[in-house]
Amino acid sequence: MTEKTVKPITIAISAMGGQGGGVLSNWIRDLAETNGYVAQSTSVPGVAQRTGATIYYLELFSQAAMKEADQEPVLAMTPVPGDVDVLIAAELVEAGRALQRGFVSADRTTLIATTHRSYTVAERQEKGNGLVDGDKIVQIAEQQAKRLIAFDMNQVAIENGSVISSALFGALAASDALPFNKAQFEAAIEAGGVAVASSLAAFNAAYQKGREDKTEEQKPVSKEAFASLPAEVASESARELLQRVKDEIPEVFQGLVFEAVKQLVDYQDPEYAHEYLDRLKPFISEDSSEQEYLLSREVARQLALWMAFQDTIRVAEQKIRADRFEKIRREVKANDAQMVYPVEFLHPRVEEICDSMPKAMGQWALNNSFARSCISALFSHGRKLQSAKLSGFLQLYFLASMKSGRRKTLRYSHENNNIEAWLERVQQATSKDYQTAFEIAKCQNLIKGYSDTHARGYENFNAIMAEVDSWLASGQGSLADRVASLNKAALTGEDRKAFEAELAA
Amino acid sequence: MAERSFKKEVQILRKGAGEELHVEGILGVTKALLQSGVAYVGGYQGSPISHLMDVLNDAQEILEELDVHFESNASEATAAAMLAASVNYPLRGAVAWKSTVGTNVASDALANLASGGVKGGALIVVGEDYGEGSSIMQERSHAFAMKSQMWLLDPRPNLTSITDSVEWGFQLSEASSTPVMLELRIRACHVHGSFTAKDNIRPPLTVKEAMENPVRDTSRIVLPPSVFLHEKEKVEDRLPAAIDFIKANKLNEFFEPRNGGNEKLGIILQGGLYNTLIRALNILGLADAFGNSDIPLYCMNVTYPYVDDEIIEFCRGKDAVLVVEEGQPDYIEQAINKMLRNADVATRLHGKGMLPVYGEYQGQPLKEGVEKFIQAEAPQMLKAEVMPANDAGVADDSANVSPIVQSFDPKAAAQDVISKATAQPIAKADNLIPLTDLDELVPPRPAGFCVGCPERPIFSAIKQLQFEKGEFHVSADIGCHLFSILPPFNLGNTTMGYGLGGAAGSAFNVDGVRRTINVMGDGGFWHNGLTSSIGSAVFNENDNVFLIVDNNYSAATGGQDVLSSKFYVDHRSTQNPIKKAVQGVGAKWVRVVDTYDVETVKATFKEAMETPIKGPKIIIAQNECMLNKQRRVKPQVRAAMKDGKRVVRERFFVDDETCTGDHACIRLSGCPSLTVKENPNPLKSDPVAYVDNDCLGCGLCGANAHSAVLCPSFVRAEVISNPSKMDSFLHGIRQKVIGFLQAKLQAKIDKHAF
Repeated sequence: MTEKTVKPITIAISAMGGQGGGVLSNWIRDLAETNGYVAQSTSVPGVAQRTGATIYYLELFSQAAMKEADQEPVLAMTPVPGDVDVLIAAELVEAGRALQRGFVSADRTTLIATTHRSYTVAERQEKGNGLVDGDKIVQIAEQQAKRLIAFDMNQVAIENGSVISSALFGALAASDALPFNKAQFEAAIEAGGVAVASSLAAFNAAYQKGREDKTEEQKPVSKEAFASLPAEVASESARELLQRVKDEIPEVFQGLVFEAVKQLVDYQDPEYAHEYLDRLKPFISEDSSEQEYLLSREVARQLALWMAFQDTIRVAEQKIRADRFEKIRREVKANDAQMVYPVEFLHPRVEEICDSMPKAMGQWALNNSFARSCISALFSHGRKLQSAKLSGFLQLYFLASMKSGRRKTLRYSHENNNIEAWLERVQQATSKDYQTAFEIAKCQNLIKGYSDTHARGYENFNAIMAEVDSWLASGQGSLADRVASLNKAALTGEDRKAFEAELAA
Repeated sequence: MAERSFKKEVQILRKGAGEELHVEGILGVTKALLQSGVAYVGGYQGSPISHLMDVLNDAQEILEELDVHFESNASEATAAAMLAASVNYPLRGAVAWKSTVGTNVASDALANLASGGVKGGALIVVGEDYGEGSSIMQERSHAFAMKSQMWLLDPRPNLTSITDSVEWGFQLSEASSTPVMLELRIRACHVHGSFTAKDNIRPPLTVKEAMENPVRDTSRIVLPPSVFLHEKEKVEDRLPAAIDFIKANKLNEFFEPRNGGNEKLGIILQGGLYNTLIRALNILGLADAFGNSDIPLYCMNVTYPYVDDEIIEFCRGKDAVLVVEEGQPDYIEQAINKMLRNADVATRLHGKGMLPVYGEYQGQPLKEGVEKFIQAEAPQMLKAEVMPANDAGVADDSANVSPIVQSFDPKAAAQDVISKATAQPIAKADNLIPLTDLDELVPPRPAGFCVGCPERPIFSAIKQLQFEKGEFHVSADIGCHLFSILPPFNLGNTTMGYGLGGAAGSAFNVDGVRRTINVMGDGGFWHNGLTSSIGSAVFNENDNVFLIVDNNYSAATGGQDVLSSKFYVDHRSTQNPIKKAVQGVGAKWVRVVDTYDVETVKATFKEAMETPIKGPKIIIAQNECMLNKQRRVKPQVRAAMKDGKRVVRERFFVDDETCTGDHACIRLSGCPSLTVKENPNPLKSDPVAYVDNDCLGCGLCGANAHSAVLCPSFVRAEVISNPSKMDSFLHGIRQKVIGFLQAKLQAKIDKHAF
């Protein structure tokens, strides 16, 4: 860009309302105005833009060129596709939106994009995993932009106690897309006069990172990446289990099974983990490497999750562990001089209380209207438990210490029966159709959540199993597609409408 | 106390002649008002002119020094009616509002004002909320100018033109005894640029002086027989006077073509579109960056009335002229067609046939429209170098050019634009991911409730009640609460205007069926809702449920104060409770609830749905707008921390091991800080709920966990800074006992350690 240019430099900022796009605009304007340019910025800060996607737009024009022409430039109010020199995206999907709108062109646009995500409601509200593939947006950005600077600028800002606008400004400086040097950028932040030190720190960190001139390494986040088996373990009981995993499980998913075993020991005891391995055994013997152990791998995963069903005992145990209190302190950024007291929001209902009782007693209490109403009177409201104060901690401690009696509880008996029935179905299906068996195994994912959500999950699961049972009895061909689409429908939408429609289909 | 403070910026209003001011458009307008000797100002807030009201509010001191009266009008109708002060007295008055919604509300008073005419200049600044970023129905203010015979200014969107137009707007108003509207588009209101200041002028006649010397002229009152006189005056006196003034002062601008340009073509445009049109011409190689164009331009800084002579003269002798007029109907194009027909000028007139019939005229549609115009009329002009390299395929479009009105498909047009703008150089063409993949990767991100918003819990409660009782008909209103229509709440069937939530539900007044819910905010309530929604419901014995969201401010427009604001406000009377107002108009069943108490809100709605008591069931749900609260409280907390005082900060936390990833909590909240993250358990694939560091600890997560019986993973962390001696003492004991028991647990785990 020479001083003689007779075209404005055009800069668009694609952001979410409330992200500090205005601050960034002000810095760029000040930067330009104090260094030989006139600047114009516009925005749509309708107060209704809070948290919504929005675009800020700036044009810079050389004063030298103005002098030469002895005329004032006419600066535009909105970006034109194909006419944007610098596009700054303050969130990854907003970078995608700018790409979608044509504001990034290969012949001229420098794209400065943070790779962090701020998930939209649409993504967050899904029952399962509704997140979009951000890596793909980065790939598209790479192919569409003349030059791309992309890294997690939010992280850089957080690490330096600042907000994203400072990091974006740093990356902009690093890009050399504007005819200003680093000192001039820094002077603009200083002139702004607000949180100068932290802003400069984030600016500089982002500048360094931007200079490294590499888009961030794609993180190798493969879900199947389990740690490899350790050579040695700390206790005798663990050693036995490790040996069983080595002996009985095909190498391709030993990591998964070992992780499951560890979780089940933590959940109950080594015996429980042995039971898990026993249950897994028949599936492995019928599976093969040609099938990539798809089925037994899925059973291994789902079975472990189901066997570690969350009862009140488990919740209590998780809540009182020392490392959890540490985690909360870290998460709320408490310093050493501060005290942190967690308040647990619990709402056990009659069902959960009875579930925790020994089977016969629990059943009686559930079915006896007097007992039931007594319990519901006691537990009709949610509780706030102070888990780091003595009364709260001791209550939870008492509950957690019921672990040794878990196998006698009503809940255990209930879940155990269902697990056995489900395993039986998968087993039977295997001889009929491998793929169907695989889909049945996957259905465990429907049983999650609490109270109504949990009940609806079970209801859907049972409805699918009813179809499975009649198929097992007399069905022809494969039921895999049917089970898969029912499973998908069960996770769609908030109520059961989608599922019921699919069921009726 | 508005969301944004202009206390610092308003000092700019004191600047004197010759100083260069770098400001936002809206602040420039305020300065120009003072430079024009305005005697009184007012208006009603709403994007894009909210900041104008905030600036005036923060400039009370400066206004008082100049004896300028500022009124926070209750509505646009109030503001328009206030201009009556300019009917009998040579007082300059200005008001501002969001248009066309505000102009709709103001129409009654405006029509009366325009009928009798004004002695002092009356200026109405309308923020034209049309196009990208707009939050209202898409209409044009132009129609109001035409129907009531008011003049409409649409200056070029640079600060010098905008501020100048304020001054000659007053002059035009006085010269023609007619109120004048100054139209500013969204981005023009917020454009940051510079202009040279003049000295402020104390009004030659102040409001006080006028009050002390009453003047009365019955011919200015809208009542027969004067009304017929007014009609005659409009046509025979005021219109010619206005046209003379516009011509004499060259308010509309003619831009001659640069050397080598084409005199045979021309473009007639609204002034507000000038900058965007120049950019379009620039990209096509038909103008330079300074606006020197190959095509002559007639820039209408006054878009109503039309100066027929100027337009006819501009067109005469030209082969073809393009009219660039944003929005529909195409009033200007129609009028020009008639002018040319009557004057027997044969120039071809293009407009909506080449430009989109509707929608904002941003750079791209203007570029394409002008390109079609040139293709049709003088294709040789496009042989010149076209600036962006990726614009190659344009010549192919020539076949499509047709002077008839075409239907415009924004989606198809956008696709076309994008494919051109993002065309890849051939060299890079291997393994390209198609851009259409972005359709799946880019979810919509509409505006929504802020972090910790006190309105969210109300809709959580209603949604939970729906699970029990089935779906409700919800008549929504204007305000932040309208975000309830979006996921995750999906509540709301219609919105009929500010303060009209209750009125819009009034047909559903039948006994014995599931009652409807009629929503209104405190902003809408005081704007007109007290009478049009509540009063009417009481009078008609409406049996439904009325929710009034009372968050202490007119929050959606930027947190301006209202009658029921909780805090003391200088210059205004606040702390007038809504409850008293509705009881005053005869409401019997009135409940006031704390919004964050979801359980109680839910129970109150349930009771309102079931009670046999007749008449409207009014629920006033109260809690302070979180944005404003943070602005108020943050400095206090910071100071307390610094002084070593005990401070407890609360925020929420989700146990990621306990969370099952079904996201039921999110479907009842939608709070931006209640988000998701990767599941820490490698066996699980669904993301878990996660509360980020923006959490303000409003308590909704906990309240929902209880009232909707969510999973036991929600935790409120209380962080105590500067703990007291008692805190430390108890903490020590707790740590000892808990530490001992935790060690016991750990020992058990270690027995089977891996």
